[in-house]
Amino acid sequence: MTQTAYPYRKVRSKRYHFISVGKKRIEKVVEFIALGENLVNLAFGDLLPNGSIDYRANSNNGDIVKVLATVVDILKSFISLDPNVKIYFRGSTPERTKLYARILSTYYSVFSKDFIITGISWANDQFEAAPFDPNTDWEYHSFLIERIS
Amino acid sequence: MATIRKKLTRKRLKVKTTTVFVIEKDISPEETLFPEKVAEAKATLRNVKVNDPRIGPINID
Repeated sequence: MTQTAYPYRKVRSKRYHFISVGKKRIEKVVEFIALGENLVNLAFGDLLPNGSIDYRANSNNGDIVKVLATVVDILKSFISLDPNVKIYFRGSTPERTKLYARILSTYYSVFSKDFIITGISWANDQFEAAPFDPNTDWEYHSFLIERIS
Repeated sequence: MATIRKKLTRKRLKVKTTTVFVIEKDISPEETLFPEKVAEAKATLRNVKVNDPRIGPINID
């Protein structure tokens, strides 16, 4: 993505924080959790004052593009530290997953230079993984991203 | 009066310094801030059928 991103800080080896500054000031958390060998789950959400996380929050902070550009920056940084890792992610709602699919389609020519993008969808009563197709409106369930070796 | 002030200043200057070492460690699945998302991701990936040889193995714990 060519959008400006927020500065972020690494608070643990697999956890990053940044501040979204829009109508409000919201602290965001991005976390990579191991699911298996060379496989992690990417999750992000709002850090609430009590220390818990709200990942379904629709912040409406007016800076969604900048927030997502920051998450992409963090993802790139994380993957550069562990080039063999596959990163799994999905939106917290179907609408968000559609938004992520739109972003992946829009920036496919940029992303696909460095990354293999896999789309996971529900078909024939099962989850199927296939290369992400930027030219369809296919309803994806989730995504996997890995660096081209 | 001047002596008292001098003593107070000396006292204030005695500042103890402490060095804190922060040891970074990996987050285990139990420590995640997103346990539901992790469980959901594992459930999906355990049942995913890979239809393309370009997609490498998906190894779930």
